[in-house]
Amino acid sequence: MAWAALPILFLAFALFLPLGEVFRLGLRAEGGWTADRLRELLADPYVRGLLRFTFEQALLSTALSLVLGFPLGWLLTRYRFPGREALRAATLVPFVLPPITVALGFILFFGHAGYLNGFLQGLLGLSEPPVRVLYTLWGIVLAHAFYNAPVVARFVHASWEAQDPSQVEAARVLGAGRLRAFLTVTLPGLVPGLLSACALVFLLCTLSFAIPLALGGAQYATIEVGVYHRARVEVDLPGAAALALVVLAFSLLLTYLYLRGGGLVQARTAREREQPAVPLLDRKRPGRLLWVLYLLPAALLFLGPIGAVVADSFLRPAPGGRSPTLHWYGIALSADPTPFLGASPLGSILTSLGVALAAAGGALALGLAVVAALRRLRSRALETLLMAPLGVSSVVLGLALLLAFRRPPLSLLPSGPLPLAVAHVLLTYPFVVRAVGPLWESLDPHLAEAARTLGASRLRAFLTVELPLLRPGLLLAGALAFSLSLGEMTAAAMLARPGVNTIPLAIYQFLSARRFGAASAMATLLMAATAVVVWAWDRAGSRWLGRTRA
Amino acid sequence: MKRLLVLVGAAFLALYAWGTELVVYTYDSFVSWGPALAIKEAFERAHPGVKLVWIAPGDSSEMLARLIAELELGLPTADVFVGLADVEVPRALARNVFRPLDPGRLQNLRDVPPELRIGGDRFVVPYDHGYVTLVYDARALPEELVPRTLTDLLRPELKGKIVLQDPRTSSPGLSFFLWTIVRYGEGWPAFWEKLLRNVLTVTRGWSESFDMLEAGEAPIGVSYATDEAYAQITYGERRFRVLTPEGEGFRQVEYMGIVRTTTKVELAHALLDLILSPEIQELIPTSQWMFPANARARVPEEFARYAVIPARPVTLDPETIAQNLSGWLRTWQGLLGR
Amino acid sequence: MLELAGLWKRFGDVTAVADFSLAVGRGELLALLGPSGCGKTTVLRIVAGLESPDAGRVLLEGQDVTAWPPEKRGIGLVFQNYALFPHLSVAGNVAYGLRTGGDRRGRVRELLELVGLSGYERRRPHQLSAGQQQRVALARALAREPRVLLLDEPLSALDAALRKELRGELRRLLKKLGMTAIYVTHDQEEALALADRVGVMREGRLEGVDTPEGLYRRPRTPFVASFLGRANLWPGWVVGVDGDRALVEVAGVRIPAERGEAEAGDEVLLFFRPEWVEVGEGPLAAEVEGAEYLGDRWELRARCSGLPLVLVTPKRPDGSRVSFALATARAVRPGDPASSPRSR
Repeated sequence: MAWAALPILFLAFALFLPLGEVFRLGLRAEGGWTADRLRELLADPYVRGLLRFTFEQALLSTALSLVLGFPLGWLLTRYRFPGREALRAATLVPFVLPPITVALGFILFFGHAGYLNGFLQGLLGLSEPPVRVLYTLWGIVLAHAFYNAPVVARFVHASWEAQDPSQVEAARVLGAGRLRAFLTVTLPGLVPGLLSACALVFLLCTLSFAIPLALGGAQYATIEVGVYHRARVEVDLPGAAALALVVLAFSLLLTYLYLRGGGLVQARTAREREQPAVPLLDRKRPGRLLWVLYLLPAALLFLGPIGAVVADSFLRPAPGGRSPTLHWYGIALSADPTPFLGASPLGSILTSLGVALAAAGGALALGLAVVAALRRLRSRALETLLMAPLGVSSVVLGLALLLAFRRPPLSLLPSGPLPLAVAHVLLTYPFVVRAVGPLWESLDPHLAEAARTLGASRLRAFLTVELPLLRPGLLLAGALAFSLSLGEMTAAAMLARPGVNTIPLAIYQFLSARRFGAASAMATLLMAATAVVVWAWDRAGSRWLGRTRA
Repeated sequence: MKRLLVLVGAAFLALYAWGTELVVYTYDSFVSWGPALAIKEAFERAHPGVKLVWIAPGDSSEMLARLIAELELGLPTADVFVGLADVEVPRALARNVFRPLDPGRLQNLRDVPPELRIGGDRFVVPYDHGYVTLVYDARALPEELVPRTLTDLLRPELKGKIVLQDPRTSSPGLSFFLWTIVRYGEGWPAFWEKLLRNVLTVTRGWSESFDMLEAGEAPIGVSYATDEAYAQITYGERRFRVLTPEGEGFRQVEYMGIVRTTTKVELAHALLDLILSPEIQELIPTSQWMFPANARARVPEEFARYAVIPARPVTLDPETIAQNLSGWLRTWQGLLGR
Repeated sequence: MLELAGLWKRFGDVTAVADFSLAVGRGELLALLGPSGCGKTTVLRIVAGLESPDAGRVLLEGQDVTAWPPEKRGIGLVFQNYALFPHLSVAGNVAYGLRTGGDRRGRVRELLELVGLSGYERRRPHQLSAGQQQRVALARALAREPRVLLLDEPLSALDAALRKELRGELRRLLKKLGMTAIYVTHDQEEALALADRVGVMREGRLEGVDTPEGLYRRPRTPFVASFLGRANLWPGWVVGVDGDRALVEVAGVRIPAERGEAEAGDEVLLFFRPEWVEVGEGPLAAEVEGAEYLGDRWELRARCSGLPLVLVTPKRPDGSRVSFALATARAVRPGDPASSPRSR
């Protein structure tokens, strides 16, 4: 029991007590508990609009992600071409790419005065910008597809790779044509993976924050943005808490459905052969060049915004008109306070790094404690309890901590960046559990026992035998937690306070103040940091981490 | 002995003063356009050892929200708030964010005409004024598409060409919103429902929307009646033209006050008085692009020539605003979801 | 030295160990033999302290250690898969259990010399052959000079030839050290060749403990009889007893046999090994149904008055009918099915 006590105690103070505050504020009025505020909220046309828009855009985003992601998964599975491995690794990028950098990239690339329209207007001699997606519903949907099509592609690739190629061969021998074999054998095998991918994408799009905040203007706000607005702009804390309860209900439901459906995806079965892959470039098969029709627009969508950010950070003319320039990096790394941030850019970077380090350390410790507890007490109820943050959205978590740190006992702690670090620990430790749990499970249990019979206490056996063997997984999970914390903006926006500014918030503030050069320079630095993590991740073993995200 | 005490006391005072920061919240354009940096220089010159820190990551209502949130959550916050539009003052007073002013410490207040001042100068004093109107980019918008009335904004040819500000976060956004309520009365929601479908986007603040005009993202936006003067002086041509539909424009006076939790009452009053001084007030027209509040401040001739003054200024009394604003905004929010 | 008294262990609704009692003397090498899943490994883990019994006690040198954690017991365990620490070198593995201070390096060298792996100190486990890994595991377990050494199928991962070679080596080594040891295996030949005494387990129970020869010649239960080597077990009943002799009637024929624990009138099984059958002249006759040539002998499957019979003979008999006598046989009481801890 002692093993479970530690993580439960932490979660009690860091998660359940704060969530209790949300319930108290959202459901309590003078005289006792009441659902009046909830009823009022659900009758409010604005809130209904938020909910409707949230689900509408999530549905459209899921559909577009599917349309864009399926061919990518297909390409990665069935074709050989130069750069295939790099492309496969690149599908990991969205897992860690901070949404605010994507939003920035979309504004720079798809804006009416952006790179794409500028290029097309110059090319076609148009007076009006031809591509008008930004500031519309489609801008948000496209940004979400940017994010989630690679997720779909990974699921498709994984479940396709898991199929036994002799099934299709059997169908062909039995007289099925190529198309019929695909439709009757291959596709049905992919359906569970596709459903899982759709459920995950829908969940992620429903709880999206930074992209609708930065691209949606006032018209297109999701419920997450709605909670933020109530709490931090209208400063209506009870209203925000009530709305957060609505979000919480949806996020728990969707997470539950996704995790339940996760059982649909077959574990990779032992196969005798790899899926056969044919060369994409084959002089005898010019038909394969039709892939260009997919690859060109896809490249535009995926590379355009990222390229725009990097290009903008060097090419946007400095005051005085110099370009290319490193001026914006000078600003992004400046130690002087900038009024637009309410802090210095360098200070924001240092805060972010400090919070990310603390979050990674905390997530590793908590994640390990949770895995240890779950290994000793195999109980579904305990697992649900210990993995509860999976079902809590970042905005709700941020609000909960914002509220809880106002009152004892948490108000007795030094605040500063602490609430944010706690939020990031809670948001990232499930990844540690997912990365380390299976690894630990795969360790020979006899190793620890051998250590015990050799005179080691349980603690020493853990420290000298199991921990060193878990190190690759821990390093990877720690790096992942670090980069997720570095790019996390939702909880950071909810918990923003004087003196605590982070890199994504600084990018957003520069963006809002239309200081694009500085925003781009900072975003480029952030993307470079996360790229390193992806590279290490892919190198060190996407084998078992690739399937750990939920 | 006595001299020693005085010396030690003075040293302490100097030390104390050396580490002193006066934190001021304002909206972003007061820093990026306005006289904030000149004020900082002048203030720090006059008060050696004191640092003036401007914090401005947002438009006025957003900064006010931040102030309210920090006060209500018990977080550290600003000493002074600069940049509250008249239409936002009721909200600030309702949330009890300011401490009473000591008019005796505001020497320059006597040169501010009484029609700009409200509430007997008890909590806030004005520092500039102007008119919120529509502005269009003469380079980008063909003459035949230029709207002549507010209702013209609903014309399908203008779809996707208009940028507005969110009245919940921006003071010109709020002013424009109240203007439409005065103009259309009970029928304003119907107007807005159609307007929201015709606009390109609704930004959080004025800086964003005006930057979109300048960058060519959109040709029409809500802005200030002084923008022609800005365009003339900046571009040498009147790239931005001011529209006063049927001669109207919404009157805007901007105020400042001292946050109730500050311990630097003396310095805060000194800052307010500095901002009201002719020296700073004369910077307002060509940086802030507003009319100075101090009647003794001189206004450049070119500014005076091109700054448009609407024939029929629109206003709404604070009482009505205080009573109805949250309901109106709620209704407006509801239209967003349609 | 080591005494196990009335051990019980259940996992869910499976009883792994049932009423298990056993005493191992100082310096004795005891093999625990049984089919897989019979609970022998569980007994070992209970002794090591890796499982705690639901009932019963573990006494080490007269001391009740049932509740002691594994690291306090002074017991060495060699795992079936060796469980070498992959992140440590050979020397690191061997030194793991050594106390800090003292001449650790000298001790490691000594131990590696003992198992014939001098010079392998810096290798990693994955750089060793299976046989070498086994020796490292043994050296590691011996490093702490355990009071009792437990070996869990230590040779099962090796090929047949190596297994044979190592088991002799292992026995010599343990005897040289005077080590008290329990050796778990499912390989009867290994158990018989290696141990001073062999205990046979079935479904969590100890069915018999004896010297290898005693167990082979005088099994107490049909299970032990048929698990160790090949056995003929014919149902019959005891017509009469005389001292340690009995007369057993099988299919109408009376056959003299060792009495065992049988009483007159008991239903018994007449037990005899194939090699106890003497083909040629004899009172019994059987129809040969099949013959297998095994190089040095023939093994015949036959039927005698309807009862199955296995016998070995140096040369293949002519014709399909053989006469034979039994050099010796033994009356074995059938097991009492009611007391069997069959639990599923």
